[in-house]
Amino acid sequence: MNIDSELRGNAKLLILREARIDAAGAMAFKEKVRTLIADHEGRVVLDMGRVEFLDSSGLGALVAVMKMLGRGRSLELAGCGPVVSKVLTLTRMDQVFVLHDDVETALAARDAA
Amino acid sequence: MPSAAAGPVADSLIQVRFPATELAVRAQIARVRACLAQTCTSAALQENVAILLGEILNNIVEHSLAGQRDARITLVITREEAGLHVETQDSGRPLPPQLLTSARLPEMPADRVDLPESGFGWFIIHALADDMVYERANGTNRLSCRLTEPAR
Repeated sequence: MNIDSELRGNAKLLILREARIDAAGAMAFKEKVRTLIADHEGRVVLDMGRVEFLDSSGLGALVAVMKMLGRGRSLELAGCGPVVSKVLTLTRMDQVFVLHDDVETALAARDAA
Repeated sequence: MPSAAAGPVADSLIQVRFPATELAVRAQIARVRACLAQTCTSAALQENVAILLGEILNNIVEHSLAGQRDARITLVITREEAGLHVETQDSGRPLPPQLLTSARLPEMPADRVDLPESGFGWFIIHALADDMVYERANGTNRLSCRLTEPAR
């Protein structure tokens, strides 16, 4: 699971270099993100721009990451493509994550989370 | 396409048998998407097929055929006037019948630390597919459904 990590202000930006978060990769995704956000207390923004596919296992992994952030923070998703957006909308999880059109919008949104 | 002359398999887009593993499912979904991109199905329908297959096929891998080595899944996708017909076959455990009728989303808890991490799959399947039919005969599960072109 290939994920780059950058600190932008108080936001940790995680850039997914994978085309999918699916059943075969959900566990690896969750564990990689867990190590990347350990000890980080600010916002967490996930760049979803390259992700072309998400299934319910991948969705479960996103929820698991959100829960790692505790009560005070939301997981922020930036640049979700059509399949990701559809899965989030169908399951109404679009109301649980904070969604941004793209990374720059996400990082400019200072009052998010 | 003239269906009278075409015969029963002429509109078959995909007919494949593959190992019941998560990685093989991933490869098949990519293959189906590439195949459908060559047809005149809409992008929205192609997305729906990919999402639906992710749920149905991984459900077979994780539940019906869990722990069975060398098991295989048969997938047949056929073109229909209004969309696509999807059929899967496997020789695993029977499908619990309550999954066939409808599915509810998991309860949304007041506190986000209690959010569910699973239980979305069958809800997604029912949200996308129509005419769900399940048959169990001679130890084989056969599940079929239709996907119609989404309204624009």
